[in-house]
Amino acid sequence: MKEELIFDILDGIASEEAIRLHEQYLANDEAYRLLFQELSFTHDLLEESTILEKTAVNFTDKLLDKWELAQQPATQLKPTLSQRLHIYFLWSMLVLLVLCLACMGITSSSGTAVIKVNMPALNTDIFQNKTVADSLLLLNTLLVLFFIDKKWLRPYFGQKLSTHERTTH
Amino acid sequence: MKNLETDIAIIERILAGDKSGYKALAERHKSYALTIAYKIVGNREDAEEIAQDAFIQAFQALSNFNKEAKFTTWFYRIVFNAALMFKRKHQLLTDDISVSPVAQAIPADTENSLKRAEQQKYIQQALGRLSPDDVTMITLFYLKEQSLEEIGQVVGISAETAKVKLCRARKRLAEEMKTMLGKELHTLLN
Repeated sequence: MKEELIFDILDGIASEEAIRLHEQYLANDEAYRLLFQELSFTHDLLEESTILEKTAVNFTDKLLDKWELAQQPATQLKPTLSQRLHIYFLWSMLVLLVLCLACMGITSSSGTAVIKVNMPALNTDIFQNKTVADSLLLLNTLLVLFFIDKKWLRPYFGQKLSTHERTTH
Repeated sequence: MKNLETDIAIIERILAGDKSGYKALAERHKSYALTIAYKIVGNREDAEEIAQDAFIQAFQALSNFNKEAKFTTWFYRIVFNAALMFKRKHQLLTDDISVSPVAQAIPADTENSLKRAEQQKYIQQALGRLSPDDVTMITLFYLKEQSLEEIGQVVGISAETAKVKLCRARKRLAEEMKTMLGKELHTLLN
C-alpha cells in the first residue's frame, strides 16, 4: 500500500529499502508524487496544530470543589416552601370545594337559596347511616395515627436506634 | 523530587489517604484530558466540563485501577468515552467547530501567516468530519506521548488494528482537506 509507505516516510520509521522505493516512485510516478504532496501537507499541518490545549486558570480548583461535592453523602433536603406550594394549593382547593358543597347543602335545605345551581343538593342523610359514620371515624383515626407516626414516633425511634448503634460499635 | 513522582506513586498516596494527590494528578493530566475532549467535541467549554467529569470518574474508580497498567492509557479511555457520550447526546454539528486557539494565536501580520491560519482552520474543520475514534487516534499520535499499542488501548483496539486505522484516518483527513480546499490545494502544493 503506497499510503502506508508514505506515512512511514513521514513518521521517519521507513526502512532503507522503503526509502529507496519511495525515491524511485517519486522520480517515475506522477500520481505517487501528488499523493505524497497531499499527505505530507496534511501531516505538516497536524504537526503544527496538534499541541496541548491550555485549561482555564481555575480548572483544578473547580475540579477539586466538584470532587468534594461528589464525595459528600447524598442528603435528602427538606422540601422548601416553593416545592410544597402545589400541595398547599391542592389542599386549599379541596377545603374550598368541601365548604362550597356544604354551604350549598345548607342553603338548599333551608329553602333560601338565591342562586339556582343545577347541582343536586348534598344528601346529608348519608351521614346518618351508622356504617358510613363509623367508616369515616375509622378513616380519621387512621389519618391521625399516620400523622403522629410520621411527625413524632418515627423521628424519635430513628434517633434512638442510631444512638444505640453508635454506642454498640 | 515531586516532579519525578510517578502516577502510580501519586495514586498510592491518594489511596493511603493523602488528598493532595488529587491535585497533583489533575495538574499533571488536565491539558491532555482537555485536548482529547476538545478535539472530539470541538467546543472549549464543553471540553472542560468533559475533562472535569472524566477526572471525577477516574477519582471514584482509583481503588479499582490496575497498578500494573499505565495510568494515562486508562484515564484517556475514560476521557474518550466521556467525550463520545457527550457527542452522541448533543449531536454537535461539525460545521460549528470554532476556530482553534492555535490558529487564532498565529500572528496575522503577513500574508503567509494568514494563509497558515486559514489552513489550520480547515484542518480543525476536517477533523470535525472524522469519527471520534479517528480524531482521538490522530490527536494522540501527533501529541507523541503514546505508543501505537497505548493509542489502541484508549480506543479499544489492538496495536496492529490501530496502525491500520490510523493510516486510514490520516488518509481520510487528507481527502477531507482536498474536498474543502479544492483547486486551492494544488496551488498550495506547487
